[in-house]
Amino acid sequence: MTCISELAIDRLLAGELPLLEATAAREHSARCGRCGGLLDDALTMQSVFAADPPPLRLPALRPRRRYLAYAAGALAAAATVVLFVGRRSDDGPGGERTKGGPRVSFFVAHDGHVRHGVTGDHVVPGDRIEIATTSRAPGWLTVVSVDGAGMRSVYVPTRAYAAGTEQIVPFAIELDATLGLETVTATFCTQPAGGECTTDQFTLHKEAR
Amino acid sequence: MTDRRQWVEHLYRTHGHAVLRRARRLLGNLDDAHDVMQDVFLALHKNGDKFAGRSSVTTYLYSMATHASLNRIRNGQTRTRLVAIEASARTGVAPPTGAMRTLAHQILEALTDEEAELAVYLYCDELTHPEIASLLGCTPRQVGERARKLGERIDRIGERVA
Repeated sequence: MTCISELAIDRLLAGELPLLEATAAREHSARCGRCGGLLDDALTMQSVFAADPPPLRLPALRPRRRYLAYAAGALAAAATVVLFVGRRSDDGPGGERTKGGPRVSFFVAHDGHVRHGVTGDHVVPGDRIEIATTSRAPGWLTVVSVDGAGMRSVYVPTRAYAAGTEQIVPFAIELDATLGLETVTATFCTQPAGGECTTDQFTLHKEAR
Repeated sequence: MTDRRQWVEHLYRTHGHAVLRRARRLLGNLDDAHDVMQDVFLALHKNGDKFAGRSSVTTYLYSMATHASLNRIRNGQTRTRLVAIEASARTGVAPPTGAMRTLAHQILEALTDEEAELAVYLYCDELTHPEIASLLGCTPRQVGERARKLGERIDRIGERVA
């Protein structure tokens, strides 16, 4: 592998590189002094920034006009009603979706190969799943799974997602040994806790190796 | 607007370090880099809907940080300094001085902002054509064509000022 760019390092730290590229980049950085140094510098900057982020100076929110207060109150009340719309079982690789709404898709890393997953995909314990979102607008994502034993797991705790096509969620899920049909449901919300929400889901058939 | 504010604040927490590092690399000092980082996220807050999702968030912010850094140094006749910093960082040798520095200065000052941006991606960052394509929102083939034209333009400027 050739040396990696700083853009690639940024994407690696953000979890945007596909699994194989990320693995190759890490392995190369472990051998290459230049790239290892760049990665170390990036990791140091990341940890220093996370420990003590400089204040972000965004403009203050404008005070709302009085006559809007009633409308705002009504909207806030309406926003607490969580709307779950549109369910679909097998409409292409993304699982269920509302037309034009946000979608979830996924990639499967199996024995060193990564493929684009489709709902109903056959997987084995130890496979790694990468979740991706496609949406016209940013929002908040939560992904939960119910495995073949009926056990519910949170795959992706509530986190912000960006607008765009197949935005990779920056961590992978390694599938455990529980076999059977697993249903993964992504909930897209306009606010961190509630607001208007839609869901999309896909299924996995987990089989023994 | 609250949603966008939360989105920008989230991106600041998750990607601010990358923007800061990018700006520091191009500007050569942390104080200016902090200002550029603030400018980038302020612009994102103001014009976040321009992010159409054609590229990843990281790629988009990398491009924004590059633009903001180049804007900051545009009027200070410091493109030569930029090249000097980059060259020394890449090669470990001393920054160019004397005639070479003057030549580099004249060439860079003659480039448009778009050409300077491409020059940074090509010669300073050493990005691949697909990476540059993701930053510029074009195809790798178009990057190749623009790079060829940029090379010819630099040659012409170099001949004129040499």
